[in-house]
Amino acid sequence: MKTMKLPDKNPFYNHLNIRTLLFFVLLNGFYSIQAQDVLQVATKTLEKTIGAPAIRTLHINAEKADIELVAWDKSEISIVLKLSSRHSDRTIATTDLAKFQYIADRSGKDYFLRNYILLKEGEAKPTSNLKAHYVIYLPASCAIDLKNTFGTISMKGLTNNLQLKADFCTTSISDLQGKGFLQTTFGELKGNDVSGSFSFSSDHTNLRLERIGGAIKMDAVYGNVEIYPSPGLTSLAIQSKKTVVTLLAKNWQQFDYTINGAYTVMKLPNGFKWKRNTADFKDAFFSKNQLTNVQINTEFGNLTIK
Amino acid sequence: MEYNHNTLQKAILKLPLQEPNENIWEEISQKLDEEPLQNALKNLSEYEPDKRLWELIENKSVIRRHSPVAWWYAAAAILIASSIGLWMLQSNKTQIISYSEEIADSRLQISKEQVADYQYQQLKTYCETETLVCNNKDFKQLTQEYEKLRTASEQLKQAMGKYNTEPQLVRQFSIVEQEKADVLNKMAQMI
Repeated sequence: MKTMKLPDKNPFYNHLNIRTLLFFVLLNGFYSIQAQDVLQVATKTLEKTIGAPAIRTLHINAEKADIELVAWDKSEISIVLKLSSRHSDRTIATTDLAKFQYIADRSGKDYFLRNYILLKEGEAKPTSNLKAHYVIYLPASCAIDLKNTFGTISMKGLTNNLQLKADFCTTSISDLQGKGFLQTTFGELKGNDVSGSFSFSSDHTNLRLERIGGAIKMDAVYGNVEIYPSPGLTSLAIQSKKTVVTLLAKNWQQFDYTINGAYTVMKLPNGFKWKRNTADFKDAFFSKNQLTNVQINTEFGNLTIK
Repeated sequence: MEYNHNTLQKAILKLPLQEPNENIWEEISQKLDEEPLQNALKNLSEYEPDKRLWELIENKSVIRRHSPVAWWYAAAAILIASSIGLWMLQSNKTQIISYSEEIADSRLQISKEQVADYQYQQLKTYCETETLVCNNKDFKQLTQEYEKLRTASEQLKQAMGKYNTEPQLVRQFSIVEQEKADVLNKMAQMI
């Protein structure tokens, strides 16, 4: 009968030991090389639930923030705000995080959320990467007044009044009703299933609106505007300067059109009547006494209707 | 102040009888951190009353037992109390900071030199001698467009800083840089 003491006599065991050691030595070396590429992240979190009496308007004044607003069927508002600071040095990340402040304050039927950089006397500007992240669940009927720069915004399912000012932001809106005024400079805005009375004002922004209905106004300077209207469109007015405008309807003939263009490259479907068609000025219309009127005024840029 | 006091009282009333919830402390520190209160605290520490003012108050008050020295003591006490309060607030804040680590993505960091800006400078130098084209209305408008894009690009660079983590900012930056190049090409074509 042979018996074997595994731990002592198994040659693989020793081998494994050396291997493990080697692995850790290598790992250690790897980490010291990578050390400067590791970011230390310091985070502070605010969690809040705002109950009765219901908030009428939620005001958010944000900087460098990712903001998610989602409608839910509860009557309260739930807020999770994370402020974070990233730097290769943990101490700097921490001191910079102290300069990154927030306000969460109720005033009657309004609620104010804000994040900002506060420097005390003699304090240097933060060198860390500062970022705010709002995740907010709220009743669909709550009105929104939102400002943000250099971040992302997403909004879903709201039905009241929406005021938005987004600079250098990537914005996405979906399932919106009611009314609103959305101002953007640079960045992009994507929307789908929006219907109501909405005005857009954009500068250097790429906009893409799908299944958009109701009464829509668009004021665009530079950038791209792509609109895919839904049959529920009641009116559309576009005023553009140096913008590439594209209107893509499933059946373009279900709307009436009035088109004016100066120095604009136009591609219109066959069937439009031209009042004037020179290289510099173009004046066209399409009328079948439809309920919906589309009015487009362009200066420079391109216009395509399909 | 009065409003904050009330909300504080309400928050205290809402506290469970057992161990207080973490959230509630945060809420309180939140309330203490509000701007009006912070401003008030700052005002306190910088408060330097005029001597004549104290005399006036003394003359008006029925009870004259407070000497100016006592008032100074009171002021000093408030100052010390407020700075302790602030210090406690600060130390309170550091307690709720959580830490983690992330690997920096070098692809999200951008190089500092922009070729377009260098070429734009060359165009500007050229325009110092050549005025016919450079004073043209269209050319001037292109210059304005370029300047606007350059400002936007600078702002984006500043927002990204040294440790950028946002791909969408890099995307925007490259779009703006592309637009800058387009404008620059249009300007170059005019010359």
